[in-house]
Amino acid sequence: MSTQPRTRTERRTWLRVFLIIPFIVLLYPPFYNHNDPTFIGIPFFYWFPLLWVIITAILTAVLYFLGA
Amino acid sequence: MFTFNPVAFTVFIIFFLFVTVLGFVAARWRRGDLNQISEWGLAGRRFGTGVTWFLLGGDLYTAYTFIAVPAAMFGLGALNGWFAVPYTILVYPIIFILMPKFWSVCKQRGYVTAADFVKDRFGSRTLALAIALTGIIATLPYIALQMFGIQVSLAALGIPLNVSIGGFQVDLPLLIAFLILAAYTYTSGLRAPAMIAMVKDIMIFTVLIVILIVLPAKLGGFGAIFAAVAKKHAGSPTTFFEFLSPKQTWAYVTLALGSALALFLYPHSLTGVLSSNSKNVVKRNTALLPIYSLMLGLLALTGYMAIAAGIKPPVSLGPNYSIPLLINAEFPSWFAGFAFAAISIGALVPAAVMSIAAANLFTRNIYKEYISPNASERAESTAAKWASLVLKFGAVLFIVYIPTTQVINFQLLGGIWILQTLPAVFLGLYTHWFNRWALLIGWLVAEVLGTILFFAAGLKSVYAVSIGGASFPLMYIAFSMIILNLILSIVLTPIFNVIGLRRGSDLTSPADYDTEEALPVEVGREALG
Repeated sequence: MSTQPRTRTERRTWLRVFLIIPFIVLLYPPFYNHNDPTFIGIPFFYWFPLLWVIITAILTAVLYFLGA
Repeated sequence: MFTFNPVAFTVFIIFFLFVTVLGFVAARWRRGDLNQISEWGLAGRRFGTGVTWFLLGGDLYTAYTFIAVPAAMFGLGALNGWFAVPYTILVYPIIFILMPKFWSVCKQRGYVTAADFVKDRFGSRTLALAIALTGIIATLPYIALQMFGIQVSLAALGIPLNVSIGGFQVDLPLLIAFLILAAYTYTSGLRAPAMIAMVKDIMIFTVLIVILIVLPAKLGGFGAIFAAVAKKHAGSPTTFFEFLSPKQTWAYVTLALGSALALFLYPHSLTGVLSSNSKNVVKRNTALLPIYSLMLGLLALTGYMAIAAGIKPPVSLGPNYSIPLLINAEFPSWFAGFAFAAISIGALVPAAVMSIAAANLFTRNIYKEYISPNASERAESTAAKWASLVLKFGAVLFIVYIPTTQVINFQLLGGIWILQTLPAVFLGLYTHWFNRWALLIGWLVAEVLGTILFFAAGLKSVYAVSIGGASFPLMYIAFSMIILNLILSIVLTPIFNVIGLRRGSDLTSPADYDTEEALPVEVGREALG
């Protein structure tokens, strides 16, 4: 079974380093472990990670399309 | 506590019967020879992006998740409930990187389980057995807790749980649910939960959207909801937390990271991955499955809504009943029936996939390896079908006769145990540098010590280790154990190589880890069965 030449994906694989960003943000609770700023009454500690669900999904989608 | 509700029950039965029919019909969906374990146990590796999204979504976000996460929010607050959100975010970058490789090598070499891969990669039957046993044992309580999810839904519908049959107290409704589930899993294999997952996920999202539209408005907005949460913390400042206390920070981080690393070591997750038809299907899904994580985060907040709504579960039932009580209190009967049907159906999918995944492990890595090495394909798949049935039956017995708290503890232990397969399964995708005996020692020490620490912590997953004079902060035991495991594996490998405990031979080749998409299934095979 032959495989395609890997040059295209090899060039882009370095982009995966961006996937570290959600880890840095979410695994440092002191950054978001507080009440303000609230969003429609929801404390920061609760709406901020929910926002990062969306951001991380978009980041992953972008990396997928870029062939990372 | 719960009175029998005929309207809710009728709605529940309609949906339950519907998915039962689907379960049996699924045998003919994307036809294949179900006498082959790859067809029964992996649906012939046929599923595209959409089906995989439904299957993995339904498989990873289980009925127990829907009950336990809001319950943890309700009872304990920020640490125990909310770590689930960063956990289910960080899972996806991890599998974006790892799963295409895993899928490729398994497709290329015909592996059905992680233990199949480990055996060839490290040339060690013993290590493969360790991986297989860990997978089976970690999955058992998880299946049982899905049955618990069905139990809770049935109880909330006011269905009398125990019926006396010949002097025995029998949980008749649960038994019926189990028999139906067992029957269509036996006949259809992985196709059954895949099909049912489509119904389940639509139902769950519908329930959540309705809850989110109706309840915050009814309770006076999120401001009012969180005010009630803050009040609860003020009333119980040492047991319930709206925000993380400083001592809890490291526990939160390690719970999130440890759980994220462990999720795709569970057999049921890998079975979902291996049932897809291309390495890119899973990659695409890492960007799509987070929709479920958003759903889970919002669902977690319903635990807080239960606080604001003044729900008070009796001590005999506990926080796990907070959401069923909330639904019964705030919604009309027909919606309650729909919601409980969603939860129960939400249990069927993971229970089926988990039992199939554990059966695959038993069949390939214990039955075929040690008991009946010359088993035909048909014997293999029959063994798997029966194993899956026995496992489910065992799970029902567990949940009926063993106190739920013990099953929950077993599940927590399972989470600690399964993470210890990471060096062999995940790192094995990148290198076979590790000595198989070093990996085995690392695994064994971590399993034993992790279990001891769990008991030392008072049957909790977080523990503050102190070595000599140094004391570490409260930390997820699985996480501290994987660090130890890795250290042992790394340190012992050169030592064992030198003293003559040779590395096993690697039967895989580097090209195996990056295959093209699966070739289309030949027409001839599709006509079978």
